[in-house]
Amino acid sequence: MRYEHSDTYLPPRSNEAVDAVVSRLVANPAILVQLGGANVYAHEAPADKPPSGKWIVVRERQEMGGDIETMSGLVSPLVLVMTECRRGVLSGAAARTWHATTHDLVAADILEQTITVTTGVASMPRRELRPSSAMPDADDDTTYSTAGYRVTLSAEVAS
Amino acid sequence: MTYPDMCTIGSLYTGRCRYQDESYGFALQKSADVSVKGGGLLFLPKTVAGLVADLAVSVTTGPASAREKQTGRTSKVERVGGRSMVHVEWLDVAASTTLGTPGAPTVVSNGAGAVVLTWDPVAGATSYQVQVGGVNAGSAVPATATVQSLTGLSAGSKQFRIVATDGATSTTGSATAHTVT
Repeated sequence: MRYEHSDTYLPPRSNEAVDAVVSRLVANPAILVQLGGANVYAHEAPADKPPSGKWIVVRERQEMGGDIETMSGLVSPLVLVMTECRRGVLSGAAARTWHATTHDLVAADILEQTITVTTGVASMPRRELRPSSAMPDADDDTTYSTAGYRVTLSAEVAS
Repeated sequence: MTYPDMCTIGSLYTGRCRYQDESYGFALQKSADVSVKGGGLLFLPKTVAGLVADLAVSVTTGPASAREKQTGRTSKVERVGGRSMVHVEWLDVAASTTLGTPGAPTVVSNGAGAVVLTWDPVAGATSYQVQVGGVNAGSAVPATATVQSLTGLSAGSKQFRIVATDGATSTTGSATAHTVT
């Protein structure tokens, strides 16, 4: 069979999963202390980076081309949580420890927890990508590490 | 002449630079007013904008972090033209940022009698002090952080605010009411 476009369903709302995860993380005091501020950003970090030099960017994984059309209308974005730290703040083993600890805090906060989206309902996130090694980012003079969480959002039927 | 040890990201530094214009086939000493936003790009004034297309810029002296950043960004200027080379030397760099006023902090409960406050960075601030009900609480926070953890608070509704200081003056932000459990 082939899938046909149906305008019954509203456009994918993957960004809601990102916003919901950000909302949880910025309300977590342990993460705020770990980052040296409320430095959790949706989709991209601001041009002026936070003074602590430590931040988290939450975004959805973008695939080449469009999203797969499904009969159910469910969307299952992979929400990427990227921890980033300036090399001038932490480097070497200290940076690796910081990334690992931060990912542990994030996992403890969102794994198997209910996240609230604006429309429809969302499944509890499960981790699909374990935290990557801390990699240098020459452009930003930082190290970064990424983990991925899968969230499924219910279809929102247009009224 | 004293240079700031480190450019604060987001703060604006202005000064006078001397550079060597080789676009005419021979070295020509010139000077110009420039400004650099910490961690950002070097901006040449409009008076030499016509030259920028033919020039590459490298900062040879000045604040270490600014020099580092400018070196890293030089290729962006080089890409414009790059036939000639301009050597920029910081002559008079001084922080010109005026101290801003803090916004109301965000207060998150962190267990019984404990909260964590976060706030947005304030331009020109060198440290912050959290006040609870108009009284200093906790130790001063350096400008490299915008978070403070407080414990041992009594239960009840309290007013939290941030005081920013640049060493000479201070500004007090608006308050956030939060009920401590």
